[in-house]
Amino acid sequence: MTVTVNGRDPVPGSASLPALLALESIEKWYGGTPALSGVSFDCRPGEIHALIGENGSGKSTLLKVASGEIRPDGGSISIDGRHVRFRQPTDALRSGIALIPQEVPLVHSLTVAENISLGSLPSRSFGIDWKGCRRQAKAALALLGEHELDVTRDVNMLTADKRQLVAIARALARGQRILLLDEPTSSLSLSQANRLFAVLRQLRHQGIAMAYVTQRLAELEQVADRVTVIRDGRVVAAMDVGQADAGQIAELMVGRPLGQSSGSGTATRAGAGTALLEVEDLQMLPSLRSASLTVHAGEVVGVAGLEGSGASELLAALAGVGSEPHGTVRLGGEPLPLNSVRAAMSRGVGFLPRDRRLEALVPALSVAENMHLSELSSLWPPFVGLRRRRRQAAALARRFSVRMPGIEAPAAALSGGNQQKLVMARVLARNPRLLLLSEPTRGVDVGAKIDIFRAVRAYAQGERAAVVYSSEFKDLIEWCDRIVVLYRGHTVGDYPAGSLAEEDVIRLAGGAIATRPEGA
Amino acid sequence: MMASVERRTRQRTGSGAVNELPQVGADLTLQRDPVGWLKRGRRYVGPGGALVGIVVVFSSLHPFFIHGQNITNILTSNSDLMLVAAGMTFAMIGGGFDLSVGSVMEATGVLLAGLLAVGVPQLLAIIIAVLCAGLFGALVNGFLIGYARLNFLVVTLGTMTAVQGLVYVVTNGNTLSLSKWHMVAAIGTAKALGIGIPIWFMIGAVVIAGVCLRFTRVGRAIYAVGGNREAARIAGIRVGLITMLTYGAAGLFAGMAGIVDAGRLAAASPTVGATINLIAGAAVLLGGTSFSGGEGGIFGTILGVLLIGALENGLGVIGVSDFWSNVVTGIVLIVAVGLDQFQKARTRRRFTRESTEAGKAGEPVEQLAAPVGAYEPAAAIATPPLGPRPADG
Repeated sequence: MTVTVNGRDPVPGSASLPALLALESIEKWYGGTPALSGVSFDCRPGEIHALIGENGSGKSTLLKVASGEIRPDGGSISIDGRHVRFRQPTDALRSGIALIPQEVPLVHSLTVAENISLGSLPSRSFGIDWKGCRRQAKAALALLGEHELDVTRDVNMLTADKRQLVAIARALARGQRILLLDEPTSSLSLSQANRLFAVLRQLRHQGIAMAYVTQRLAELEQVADRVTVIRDGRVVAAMDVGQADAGQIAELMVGRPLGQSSGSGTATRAGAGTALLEVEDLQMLPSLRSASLTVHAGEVVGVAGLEGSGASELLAALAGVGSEPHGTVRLGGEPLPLNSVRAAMSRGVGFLPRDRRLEALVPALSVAENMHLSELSSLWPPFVGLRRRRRQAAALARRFSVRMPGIEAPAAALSGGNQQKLVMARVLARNPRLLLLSEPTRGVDVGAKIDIFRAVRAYAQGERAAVVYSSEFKDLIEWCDRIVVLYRGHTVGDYPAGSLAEEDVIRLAGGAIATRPEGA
Repeated sequence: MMASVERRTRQRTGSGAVNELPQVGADLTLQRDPVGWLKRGRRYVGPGGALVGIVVVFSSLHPFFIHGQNITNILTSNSDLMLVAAGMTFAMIGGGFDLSVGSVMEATGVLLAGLLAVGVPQLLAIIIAVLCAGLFGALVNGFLIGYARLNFLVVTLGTMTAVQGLVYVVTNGNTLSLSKWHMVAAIGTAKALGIGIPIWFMIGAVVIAGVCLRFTRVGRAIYAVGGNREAARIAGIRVGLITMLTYGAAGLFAGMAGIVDAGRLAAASPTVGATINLIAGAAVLLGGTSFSGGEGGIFGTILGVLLIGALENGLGVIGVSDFWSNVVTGIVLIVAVGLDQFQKARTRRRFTRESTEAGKAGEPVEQLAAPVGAYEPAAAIATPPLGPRPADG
């Protein structure tokens, strides 16, 4: 279903201008799976065109196609009406396209001025024209309305939002007319984001074309002129902002036809027990600002939030792996120290980290050793007991149906889903009271996903409970008792899972506040 | 409420069908996994093959090379290298390197001389000197690297220079004779069961290091910290303490090497350890321990030391200048490690590709995981059997 209506004209005359960047009927396949099928997207000069969709909808793939990082299997790209073909990212750069990713790639040890003129340092007959370099940088920043920034400062002294400005200024200094902004506000505070919006609005008047990728519905009204909604690699709607409200766009993102109401009502919590975990005003800067929630024994609580919302940091802070968290946390009525993994473990917290490759597995060590890893938190008795370790690991592997070449095979040889089951087995084997799972189903296939959630449900009974963070809201609604939503580091909602539909969570997490009153 | 319950029911029926698949992975046996053993053995094919090659070449060039006397020579003259390399193996598996081992070795000899001079009994003096070397490694190098999180090259380069300087300050650059202390001198001359004391030191050190790395919790934690520091930390391992212990081991073994050399020379020399840190590092690398940590072992280090020792000795036996042995050792190091990298890169690439691609949104995940529903209560695990989700409310 495609909605295309000609509506208001954001910058006078821009709608009549031909598109500066036009992607037409882009196709991209991975194996037998289409990542993009027939996606068209364009940017006119002086316009901010938002691209919105859930995780896995194909937003990032489309950006990579536009920035020359991957080659499409079909379709065409044209700039200023001329057909182009990108063989590598530098081709796109030369054609005037600048990708501004979430983590801005600057040389942190160089100054602002050097970064802005990187690769094209103005030179004189003898050496580098530093004065010219600074002048160029100042001019580029002035285009953004930024007159205060000291261009002789090192980039690593700047805040995240200023770095973003430097990256944009660099693009302008190179004469690039098309900006691809990939979730630019995910690491910014609210006021920083507002300043960025002001800059982007100003750029419109200079004829810059901008593609703005986001998951935050609230930002559409603030910054975008047009919006394209993408789902499962297809464009499901393209319209001017203001033609549909946040609720309708959320529905488009999840695939419910417009107008059909979502599931609603009141659900009672399963097996409400005593409060096991009480979190009050937990803060871990920069992303987590003030989170409060209560988890009862026997409960599985889902934590939903977009990138930068502080949701995954909330779990990390509770597990004692975060840096400098502040706040009051009680586990089973007693204060839980937040600065130590070992203290959290000894009080019965089990943590499954978000990135299993970087944070959970030692790839070169065997499956058995990886399952045994947490046992090494105590160095007594001195000997490992290889036979016992093997027996336990084999029992765990069987119980979690970890498929592998052998118990002595390196963990690296396992598939993603099986690696995740391995880590689950390690965490559950310690019998924690509180299970914290960060993105437990990332990169695992459907079968393993169901396995993992079933294990969590079965485990969180009696005196035990689980908190799950996932960017796949559908799964949280499916498998949790309650959903706590975070937006920009604050808990903005706490609902029984049965009362929410996926689009409700998208709206809450995207900052478009629901009409429903807070609480169960 | 109705809508969500309906969705849930649908899901449960869907997974119910998958649940009826036969259990996969249940035939995991508790016996040793031959594949794993073969794979681990494959690591030593390179250095082992090179060692055999060197032995064959040199013994065909000159039969004296495989004479018992010459083999004893090789072992004795490389006993200090073996000790230092054993300690270096700890540091390198833990993801670091210890440049200060040579200086620590010299300092141990000088300390021994000092202790003897003030009348400490010989055996006690030896023990104190070795323990001091270990404590220095742990409390200075280990603390600064493990807890203060300074770069290991910076720290050990600093202590290498400082300790070396201290040795010169104390000795004035002179060699201190220890020949009047019979027990110390006996380390270089005496034999037990027909084998020289330095070789016994070497055997003892290798066995202790091997057992420690392979069978103890500390040893396995060293592999975990070297293999993935962050994962080790999140799993609750005391990363700082483990790092400290690896440098403690490096210092301890360097101290033992210092004692062995003091005995062999019957003197404390301020120059015995001049280049041993880098040669020991080369031996460990030749043995298949990677520079990035988390892999390798003592057996490989033995092969690496023998390889370097045999090469040096063999060139001497056939009459080539000593200086050439360093040239050849350097080339062998690069070739051996280069070949090893090729092999490892393949495994690593596969792992990285799988994990990153699977994690990316919008791209298909791999389909290799086991079918669902294969959970079964196992006696060893204290978790309840996994059933369907309990009904709401």
